Amino acid sequence: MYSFYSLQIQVGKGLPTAEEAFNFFTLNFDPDPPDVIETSSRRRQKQRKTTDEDEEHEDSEEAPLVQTQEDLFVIDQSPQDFLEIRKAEYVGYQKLLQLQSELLFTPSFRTVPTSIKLPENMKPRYLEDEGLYVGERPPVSLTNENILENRILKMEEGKKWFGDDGRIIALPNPIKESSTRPPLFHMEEALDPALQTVYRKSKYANLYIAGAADPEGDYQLDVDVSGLIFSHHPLFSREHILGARLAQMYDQYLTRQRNNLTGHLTDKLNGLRNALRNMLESHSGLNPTQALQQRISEYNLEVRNTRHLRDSEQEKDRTLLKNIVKVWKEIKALREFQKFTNTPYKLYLRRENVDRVSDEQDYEDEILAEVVELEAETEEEYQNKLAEYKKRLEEWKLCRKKQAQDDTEGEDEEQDVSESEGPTDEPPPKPEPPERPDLGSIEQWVREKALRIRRKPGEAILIPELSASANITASELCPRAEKARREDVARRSLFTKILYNDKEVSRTDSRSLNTDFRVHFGQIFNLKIVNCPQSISLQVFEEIGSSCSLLAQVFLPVPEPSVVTGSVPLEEFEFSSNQRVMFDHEGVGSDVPLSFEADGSNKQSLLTSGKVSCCVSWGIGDDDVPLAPPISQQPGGGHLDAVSYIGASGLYDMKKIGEWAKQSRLDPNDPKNASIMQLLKVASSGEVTAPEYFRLEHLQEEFNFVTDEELEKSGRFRLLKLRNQEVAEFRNYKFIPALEREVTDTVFQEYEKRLKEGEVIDTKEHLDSHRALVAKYLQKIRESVINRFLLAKHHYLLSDLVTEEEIPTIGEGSGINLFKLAEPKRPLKPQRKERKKVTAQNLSDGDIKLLVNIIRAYDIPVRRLQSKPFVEVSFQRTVLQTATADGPNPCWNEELQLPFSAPNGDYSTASLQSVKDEVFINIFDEVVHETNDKNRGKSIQTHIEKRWLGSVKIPFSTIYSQSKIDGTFKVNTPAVLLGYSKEKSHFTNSGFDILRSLSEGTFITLFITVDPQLVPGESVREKVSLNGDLKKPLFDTQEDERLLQASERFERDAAQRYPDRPCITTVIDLSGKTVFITRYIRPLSPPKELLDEFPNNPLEATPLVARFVSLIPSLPDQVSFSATCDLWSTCDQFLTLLAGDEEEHAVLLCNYFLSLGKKAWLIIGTAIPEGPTAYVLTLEQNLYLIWNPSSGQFYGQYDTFCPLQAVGCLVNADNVWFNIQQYTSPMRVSFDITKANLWKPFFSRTFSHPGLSSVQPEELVYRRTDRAAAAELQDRIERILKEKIMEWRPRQPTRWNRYCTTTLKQFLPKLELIRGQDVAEGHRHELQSLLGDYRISGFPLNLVFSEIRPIIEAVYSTGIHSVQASNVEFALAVYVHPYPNNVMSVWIYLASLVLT
Amino acid sequence: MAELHIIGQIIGASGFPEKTLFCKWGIHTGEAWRLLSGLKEGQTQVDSPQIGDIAYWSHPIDLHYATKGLQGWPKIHLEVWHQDSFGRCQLYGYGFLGDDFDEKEGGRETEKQSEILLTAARHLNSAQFTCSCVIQRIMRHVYRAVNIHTSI
Repeated sequence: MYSFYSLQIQVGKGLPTAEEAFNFFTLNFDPDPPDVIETSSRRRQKQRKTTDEDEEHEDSEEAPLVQTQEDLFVIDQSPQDFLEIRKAEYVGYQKLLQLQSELLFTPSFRTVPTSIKLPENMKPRYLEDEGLYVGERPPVSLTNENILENRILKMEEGKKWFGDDGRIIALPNPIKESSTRPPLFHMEEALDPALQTVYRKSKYANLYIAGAADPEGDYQLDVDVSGLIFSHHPLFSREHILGARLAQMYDQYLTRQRNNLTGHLTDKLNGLRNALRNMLESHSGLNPTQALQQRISEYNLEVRNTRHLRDSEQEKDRTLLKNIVKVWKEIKALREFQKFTNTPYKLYLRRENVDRVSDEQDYEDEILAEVVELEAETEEEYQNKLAEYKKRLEEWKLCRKKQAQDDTEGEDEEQDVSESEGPTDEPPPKPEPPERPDLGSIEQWVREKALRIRRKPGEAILIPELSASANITASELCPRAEKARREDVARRSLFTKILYNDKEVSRTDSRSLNTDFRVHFGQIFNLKIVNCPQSISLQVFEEIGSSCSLLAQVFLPVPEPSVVTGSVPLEEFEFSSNQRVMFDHEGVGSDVPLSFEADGSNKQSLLTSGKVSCCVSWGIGDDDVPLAPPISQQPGGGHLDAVSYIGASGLYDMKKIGEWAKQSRLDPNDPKNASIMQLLKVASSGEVTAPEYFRLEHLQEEFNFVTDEELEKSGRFRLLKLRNQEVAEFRNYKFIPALEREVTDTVFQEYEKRLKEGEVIDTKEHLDSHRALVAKYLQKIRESVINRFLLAKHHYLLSDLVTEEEIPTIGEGSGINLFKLAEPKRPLKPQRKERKKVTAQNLSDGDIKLLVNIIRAYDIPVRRLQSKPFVEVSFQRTVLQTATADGPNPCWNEELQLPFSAPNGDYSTASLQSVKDEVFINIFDEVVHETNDKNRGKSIQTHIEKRWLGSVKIPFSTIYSQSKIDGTFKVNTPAVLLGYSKEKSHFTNSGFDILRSLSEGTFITLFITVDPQLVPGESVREKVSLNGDLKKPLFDTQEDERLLQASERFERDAAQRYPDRPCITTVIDLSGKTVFITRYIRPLSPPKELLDEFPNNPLEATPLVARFVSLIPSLPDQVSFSATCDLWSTCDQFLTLLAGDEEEHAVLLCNYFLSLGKKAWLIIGTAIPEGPTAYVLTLEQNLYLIWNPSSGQFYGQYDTFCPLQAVGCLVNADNVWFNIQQYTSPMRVSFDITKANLWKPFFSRTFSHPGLSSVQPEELVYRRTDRAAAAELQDRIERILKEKIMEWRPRQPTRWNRYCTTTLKQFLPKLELIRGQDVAEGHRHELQSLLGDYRISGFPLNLVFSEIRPIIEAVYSTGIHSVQASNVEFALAVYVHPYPNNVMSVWIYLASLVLT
Repeated sequence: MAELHIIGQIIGASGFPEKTLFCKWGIHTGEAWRLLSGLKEGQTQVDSPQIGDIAYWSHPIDLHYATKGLQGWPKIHLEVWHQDSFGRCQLYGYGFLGDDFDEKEGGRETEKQSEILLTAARHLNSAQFTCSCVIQRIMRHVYRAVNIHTSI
């Protein structure tokens, strides 16, 4: 304890001694605290002295110095003076506790009385006792709990921690009883024998009724099924419906009569009035006391209420009576109309005459009483209002006065006052005095009301009486449809199955359905039960022949144990079924809209429904003991069964379930109800998915490295998700950027735009509002169909997943190889090798090539001198051409390779199927002009010009589905080719002169294929048929089961025997339902305008009708409906949509022909280039004609150039015949369908035609031709085309020759009139003479109008714009010929003129 | 924002009393995980091997997850079912490929073939089987399954 001072001195002496050094480093230099105990200090002092002395001996020289220092140090030992020595403070334990208790709070561990924990005046509520589910609380020791409670109670708002039962709110114990992770077993070790499980037979331990195990103590449930009555049945005729309605209303009437509410209320009213009158009379002289007034007003109120009630009841009575009479009149009218009676109902209206005078007196009295009362009431109301008004006026005046006072106060204050008071103390508006009610109108009102709801005075009382005494017309006298209905009724019988705990225990006998649609069973079933009854239900079955179908299920309540047999009446349980049933006879069906109004309005759909009368009760044993289990043993005593409450069908209805849950006050905490509560929560919140499990993920939020919003915002993730969902815009994305920043917002722009715009379709693109609507409609259909196909698409077959190559058998492999070795090599006869098919996913851009082999052409129009035709093939804007050849029948034999790229680089089957591109094959003539350039002297300039002669276009989808196209096609040549002529055919000497002339035209032989060969997509239907044992049909249907099976069999047989012949018996309609094909054929009359052109002979109109059909635009189904599935629309749908493929055209044409009185069939076959298609066959004067419905052309049976290649089957309204002849080519096929060895009919003697009604409408409605719209369209097309041609000629000026244009325009309507068939030679001369100085080349194009784009495309492909000559002029004329129903024929005349 | 690709296949099963087997599978994740693409549950075809004991399915699994947290790593559960000649299906065993599913080696792709031992269907209530011929005992089945690449 050296002071700093002493140390300084030591330092001054030079080096410190070892002891000093030790001290220096070890001792504390702080000044000594005053409370250091002095004694100890002294002791140390002494110690120090001794040590110092010891040192002295060691180095004596320094000793004196040190000594003095020591003295000095001893002298001023100052710290000692400040030291204070005290005893250590010790606090005793008790005292400590006392101290602590002041500072700390220690909760008591005594149980807290419940009353403290609850708010005042509250009794504890035990949810468990109330039957609510309370989870098991986590285990906490009582002491701890008490401590916790006591502590909480000291806190502010401590009570909020306690539940209603006075305990701390706690979640159920989260700890599971068993570990969720299954124990792991290791392979190496044998299983511990102790862990071996022991097998015990399972049993419904908790479901058995105690004591039921022994055979004596059984329980018996008696189910009495008395019978059932249909309130609606599909076989009801219209009269039955009305009859049922009448009977129902009559029942209602009877109940009302029995209750006689009106009478009771009238009596009550009279009584009240009398009492009121008496009261007033007895106190008339006196001043009414407060109590009396109160009573009077009460009476008044009562009178008023009773009167209202009586009025409404009277009105109900009156309307019911009126309705009964109305329905009866309807029945009478219906019976009159249909001329037979179906129901035995007869309504008599009994008149009960009344005493006129007294009746009138009563009536008047009643009205008077009412008027007086009403007047009094209105007066009272007026008085009340007046009082109110006065009060308000008073207030207002007061307010005004106050304001006036305020205004008089100082000017400077005014500002503040208005500011402060302005918004708060606005003077109330001056109250309006109430209007005095018009007492005169009251009486009038009362009289009107009485007239409406009451019988007129003196009028007889009508009492309806319903009897079942009418005679039902005998079946022989009824029309055919009604007879069919009755036969159908007679064929049906009904039975019910009794299901106990969802197991069938017995069933009633089958009873036939009576004509009054009542079935009596009258059977009682005694069920001996061992299981607790959970549900008892009846299933009503209907039997037709040998097949039976479930009509409805009725749930019966499980009776109380007190309900025993004999004591309960029969009860009626309603049932209904939402099955859709339709008939082609008088039966109205079920869920089919029908109307009783003449104009077809007020449609209603009735569902099959009715009542089962039955009762369930507990049986009585021999000794009158009810055979019912005691109450306590019934599990789930108060638990309502959802199914028995709302019925099985209601389970799919969220709303119903919700209602039920609300009504039965479902305990949301009970784990039994967890799933249903979850369902309801999800349904109400509109969320799609909710996990079925609960996961405790604590600290999830804390450990997130991004928020949900960021995750949602991520463009990359969004892109990935959209690609996965196969959203159209993103479906074909191959690569998605790995980094967020590389995903630009522009990617989503189009998608978002589409989402936003939804269904708005640009009318600009479609030129015509109607087409825009159609496009919209098609879009909708497409979406719904796609959804349907999504399901089908996910239906994988084994072959889709597992590719198992068959192991070649040894014999086969080696045998062939041996032969091959011996075989001579024949290089000049190469063997055909099967090309390898490539699946779509291995492809990328540039891999696929379209090979077009152009072989030769026939009968090309020739120029006067010579012609040098060549062929130009354009596909996806790639244009290739052949070398030029010579003459009218050139031979090129050249292969052109065109690259193919799929949209968005997606080579999946679905994408390839929807490629809309077409291959254009144009034949041109090369013309060489040599012009002497005058200015330059001798140089000669050569212009090469190409002139369009004709074209063939083949859609890529056809090539894709056919995999190759090989054949001779007719070239679409313009009706007029200026400057060209046809060389006469050389071989017109054969016997088919007439036919020969028909097929005159230009032809080209082509071979087109795709390299490498692509696997064409399988259609969904094929997949279904392959998957023959598929139980549930993929598509809905309304066809009979038997018919479908037969058609499947028929198609399968056909496919097995003749795999290459198309056979169709059922098709899918636009709503995705399977429909039998013959239902599509029905004579339908063509538009009247077409027939009017040939008033004398309607048969003359045939070509015009065919042309009309061919003018409806074609749209292959594959393109429109993405998946490969043929959808057949009916003719009216087709005419509304104005788009369809060959089948729709063929059906329409066939139906027209039938209505024209021709014999016509639909040919299902294959043709080039369409592939599988439909044509129309007609028989005219022993000659069969084959019509191509999409071009409107017809061919003779023996026409070599007929595009139809194979005939698969023939269809008309009655039957389908499948071709079982040796050949399929129409030339070699006999069309005599009566021969069973050539044509196999679908409906034969063994399976007769069941009378299928047509799906077609009875009559087609045509809209009239809109000439104004056509003219407008014409102008628009002309303008657009002119703009386009100028756009395609960016370098040269485009001059239009007006004179020529007008001439051409006049000519176009004539062309339409003769349907472009026979070209008037005169036309050319006419033109030539008009424009003598010009060299003209040009042609008219005829197109079907669907959109503007194909028109532009067609014009572009003719290449007319590519004329390079400097002095060229153009002429363009457009003519749109309107046909009924917005079908348009577009003519475009294009010409180029060069001044010579 | 981390992403996880799960690529692999369910190869097959062996060691069950019958050889006609198929497999139902599913992948479970925590709340933080979002499925970006791929199917997270499915069922294989039924394989009934003529030769050998292993029923091969070679069923591909290809999923892409994004996650905002690290908890709740994907687990795959597998159920092996037997289909008898009447077309009835019975559960033969089930198992989880749990925590080692997310085993990683320095973020690099690892390829490993796991064998999952399936717990036999002893936990199921016997009442679910109407047919009493179901033998109920612990069966030691080797489930040869799942080589899974995980990468983050």
